[in-house]
Amino acid sequence: MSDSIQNILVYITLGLALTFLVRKFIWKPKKKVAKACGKDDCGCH
Amino acid sequence: MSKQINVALIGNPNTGKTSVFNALTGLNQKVGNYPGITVDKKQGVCKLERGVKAHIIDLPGTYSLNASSLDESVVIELLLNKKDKDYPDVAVVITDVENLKRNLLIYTQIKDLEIPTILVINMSDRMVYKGISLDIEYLEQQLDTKIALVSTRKNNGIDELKQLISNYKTLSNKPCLHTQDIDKTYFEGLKKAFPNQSLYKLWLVITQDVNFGKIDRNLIEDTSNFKTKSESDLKRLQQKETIKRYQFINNVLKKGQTIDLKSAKDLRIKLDRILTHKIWGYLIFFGILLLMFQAVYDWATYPTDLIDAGFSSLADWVKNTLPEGAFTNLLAEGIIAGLGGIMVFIPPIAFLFLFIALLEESGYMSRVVFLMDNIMKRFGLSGKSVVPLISGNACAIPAVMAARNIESWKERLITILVTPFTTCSARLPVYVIIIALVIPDGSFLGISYQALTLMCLYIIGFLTAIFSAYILNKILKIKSKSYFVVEMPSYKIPLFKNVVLTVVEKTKTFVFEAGKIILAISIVLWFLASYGPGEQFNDAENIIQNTYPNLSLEAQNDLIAEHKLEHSYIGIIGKTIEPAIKPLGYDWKIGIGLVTSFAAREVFVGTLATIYSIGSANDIDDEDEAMSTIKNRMAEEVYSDGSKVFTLASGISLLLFYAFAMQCMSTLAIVKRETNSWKWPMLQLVFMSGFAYIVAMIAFQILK
Repeated sequence: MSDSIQNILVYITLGLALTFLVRKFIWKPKKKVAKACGKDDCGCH
Repeated sequence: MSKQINVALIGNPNTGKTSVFNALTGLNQKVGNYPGITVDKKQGVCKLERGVKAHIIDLPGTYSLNASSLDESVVIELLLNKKDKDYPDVAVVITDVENLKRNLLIYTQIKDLEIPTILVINMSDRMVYKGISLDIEYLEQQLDTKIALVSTRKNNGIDELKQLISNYKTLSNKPCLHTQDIDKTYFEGLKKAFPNQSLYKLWLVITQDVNFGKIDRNLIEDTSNFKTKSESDLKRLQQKETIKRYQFINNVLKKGQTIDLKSAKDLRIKLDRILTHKIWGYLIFFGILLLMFQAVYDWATYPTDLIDAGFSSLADWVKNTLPEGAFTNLLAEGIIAGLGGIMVFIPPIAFLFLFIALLEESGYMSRVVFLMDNIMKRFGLSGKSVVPLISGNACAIPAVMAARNIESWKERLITILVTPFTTCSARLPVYVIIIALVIPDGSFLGISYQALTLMCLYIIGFLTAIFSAYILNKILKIKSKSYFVVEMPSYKIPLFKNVVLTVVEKTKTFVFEAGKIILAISIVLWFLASYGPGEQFNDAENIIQNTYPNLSLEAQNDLIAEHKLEHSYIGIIGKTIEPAIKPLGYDWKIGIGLVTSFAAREVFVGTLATIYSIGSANDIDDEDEAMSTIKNRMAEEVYSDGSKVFTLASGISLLLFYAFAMQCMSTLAIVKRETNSWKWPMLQLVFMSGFAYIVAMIAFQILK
């Protein structure tokens, strides 16, 4: 495997690690939570 | 497609709910968190007749539907919210045959929510020992349900329970207590305002002390002209409700249950007399703690060393087998080393939770809480905080995880925040080398100064944890009720299956939750230490070979490693922070050690070995010899003016820095997991490291 391919693989791995950390630390995609209780159709009854 | 029904297991703590859950689901279970909070959510699948599958959810133990903790509010939130995907088609209330009267309170409340409810009377194998006999037919008739008499220990009654769950549609939905019996006028007003709704559900929403995540109780007050009562009046009505329920239960049990005390053979009182004794109780407990500490600190080292050696061999194999290059190095030194760094925590976690599960399962943990609560309360901690605080001396990661069984959120949080102050085993390599370097030989009362220093560091760590807990208790404004209500369950021989499942579940949690973060940070740190800008880094081989042409190949390689590390990104960071760490008595080389040891404290020694050009010390087979080489090289290190880098002042400063600083990304990752927020681990990082910085600076400035 040539040096350049090895370097590309390193940067891809680093990118994945950084993306994972950013998503964990800084930006977290919000999950859609089903609304249980609302004025017109309250789920608590 | 097979049909699936939702089954909720509900009951008081210590009724064997989890044993019933394990018996029903076997290994078809998974543990997670409820969204937004750190309360375990256990779910599993059980196959019933005619291809029907039961999705079983093991709800946290609760004494009643009057919530006073996060765990309890989870139960109520689910039972009040028909739109929740886990809303039960059938509720299975688990009771303990020895505490039927108290356990039936929640049964009557759930029945009043008009959810089909099955009653499980668990631990039926103890009926003979306790002289208890039950008239099941009568109880079924009075409680208007079906009863399964179960013994998970003897594996009795589980098939009958599955049968009852399959036939849940035949169960009656009639309530046990009519709301109008509590206060006719109030409930008639409520019915008028909300004509089509369940009065008991409304009543629960109005009277709960906790803030629900999904249910907005203000809506009830906003959308109607119904005038609710004052808080004290509501409390009075709640009390009346409880009295009414117990009157009902007493009447049922008067005929349905007989207890013949003469035929009861009970060791419990005798055991309690010893285990909660004000001298023997503490001695036995500290003996058990010692054993636990020994297991985590000593016994765990055998499998840990094996795992460590396994990953080292794997890394070597990868390096020798794959083509040379940056990615191969990343695999060997970053990813495999990072994975090894995660896996080595499995044995201490497994050992600690093995002990905790045994103590919980046997019923002894409640006695510990009873013994310790009085002392720990003064510092804002719980009796159960003793386990994390002591086991933190081995490793903070399982210790932080062990705080999960503390009921009060405030006490749990304080325990999590202060536990990393205790002296974990990762600090030892740093302590050993620095103490050997700067503390003079000699002894006091036959104990060497070096041993005394080490002991002082352990004491300082523990006292700081306790003192910080005291301060945090004063400043944290968290509304969290803490009662001294502790149940003393019967002593039982722990169920092997439950113990194994606890150990597996906790280990899995660490590896898959915190492990991912640790691996990602390991990769980033490897990159920062292995890459650098400019010619000084990229041309290190030529520079060293041209500067030192007569040195041996091994010595040249050591110098190349040093040169590369110095000019890597992490080296640049070390040099950048030098002005900030100068007042503490550290140079940029120590700065690099501080940065890399954020991965784990023990990395400090390895980094210094590389930076002082003794990379080959890692290849020395004898660990003591390697340490001695590093120590000698550190002792020779001087500044440009000829003064020594490692003096008593800088050494003590470094020891104190490592005693207090949060130099462990794995701990931060697990604190994030356990508090479900980055706020607390970040506060912990800033506070601990800030405190360490100030203390180390004061020590250096005084001693220099």
